[in-house]
Amino acid sequence: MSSPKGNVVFVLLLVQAATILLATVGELLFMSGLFFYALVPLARAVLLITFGSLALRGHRGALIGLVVLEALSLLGFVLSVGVGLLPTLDFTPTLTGLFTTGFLPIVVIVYCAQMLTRPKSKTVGVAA
Amino acid sequence: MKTLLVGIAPEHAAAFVAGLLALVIVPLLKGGSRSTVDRWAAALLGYSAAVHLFLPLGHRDGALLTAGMLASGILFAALTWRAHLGRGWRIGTAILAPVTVLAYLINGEDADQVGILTALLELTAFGLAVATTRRVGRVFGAIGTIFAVFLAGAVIWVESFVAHQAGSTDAQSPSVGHSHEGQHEHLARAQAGVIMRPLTGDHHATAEQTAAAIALANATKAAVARYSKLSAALAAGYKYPLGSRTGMDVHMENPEYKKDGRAVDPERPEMLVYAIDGGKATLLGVVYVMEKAGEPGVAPGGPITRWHAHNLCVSLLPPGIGIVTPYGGCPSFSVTITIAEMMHVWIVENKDGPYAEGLDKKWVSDYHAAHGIVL
Repeated sequence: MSSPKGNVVFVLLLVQAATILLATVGELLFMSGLFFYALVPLARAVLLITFGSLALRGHRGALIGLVVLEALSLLGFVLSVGVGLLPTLDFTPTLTGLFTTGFLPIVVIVYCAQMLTRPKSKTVGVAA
Repeated sequence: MKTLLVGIAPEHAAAFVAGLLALVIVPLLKGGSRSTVDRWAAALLGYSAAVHLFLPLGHRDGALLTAGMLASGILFAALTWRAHLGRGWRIGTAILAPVTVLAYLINGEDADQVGILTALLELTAFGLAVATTRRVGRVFGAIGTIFAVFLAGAVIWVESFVAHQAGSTDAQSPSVGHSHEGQHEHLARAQAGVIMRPLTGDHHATAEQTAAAIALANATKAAVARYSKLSAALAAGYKYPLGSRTGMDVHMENPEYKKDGRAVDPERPEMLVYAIDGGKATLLGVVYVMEKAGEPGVAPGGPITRWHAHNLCVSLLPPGIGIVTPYGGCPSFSVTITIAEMMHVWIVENKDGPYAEGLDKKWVSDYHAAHGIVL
């Protein structure tokens, strides 16, 4: 049985994994196709999907792992805004960027936190 | 905030506001399903319904496209209601969402940030339909969702770069590189690796602007003739870029000229572009770069002398550079930056003229083979 919120988290993580994979292609093109540039993003995408699958069943370790990973995403967003304050650089906010690097991690963190703090009997509910 | 709004084409603004309102209102509707998945699906489908129903307000398209938008909006609205009630919305969504995105891509509809976000939210609804139920098979649904999001983003990305590189066929201008008149204007709003200020006035240069653009190109060509030999550029303080020192577009940067407080000075261009290969170098042109990021470039030639900036990903593990995707994303452990605005001026005679965004690599290779100067 999977939790409804776990299902939403799972799908959001699929979307996030796809955007990471796409960005990895962009970096590979820029960095002469050196494969080691793909290792960390690939590992992250696999981790997201694995944790997302485990989160469907309310696995606490996976939920905590997702909170950590999404917190890192938010940290990257905040750092980008901060670096953009330098005179030689700028930060360009976009609608899609706000969704994928701001809204999406926040929703995943909130849902994971709610699933972590609820009694297990309620976390594992009716299939969506 | 200003750059955020640049990504929204004015003719899409009403549809976007309607979509946002739907995102807020649909989850508040009473008497619906209490399932989180159903409520999310209803909100996302409601957004798409509102966007498609309101798009004709801003667009001046033909009857067929307008009818298609309205039909799509009505179908999304019906699915929204079914998702709200928690009844049989999955199969319809699994068909309608990807078909709509596909039609959007095939139709050649140029993407702005509203279009890209709408496609992303529709594909998220698709994911909710196919990856949250065992009937379709979660594994296949998950793979399908990742594939669909990746593919749609890749196509939008390629289209935006192709349009950016496209040479102008405008006979009235000595090469615009990209006039973005009409359809192509949206691609300035995709904000996927290339950031441009959309043209607000006349897309065609005035006689004065054309004369100024020609004068700048000629002055640039005359001033940098002294750098025909790569050794002269190195002696003047131009540095090789990080990474490869050979290729068909090696950008040599002069750190002193980048911070000299001068903009568009033919005597002190911030970058020189060479083709370097086979023990020979060919000076192709220059890149003028503004000193501060976010500062608009000086454009004496109006729509001919258009500037652009790049939004890039700076990754830390391992250190590297990438390009921001149409989804606004970067690889893991990266920060997003936008560098100062820049403008190419080519000194070699090419079919797209001195202000083309880029030169065809095959053409450069042939030109370099014929004109390269031994290092």
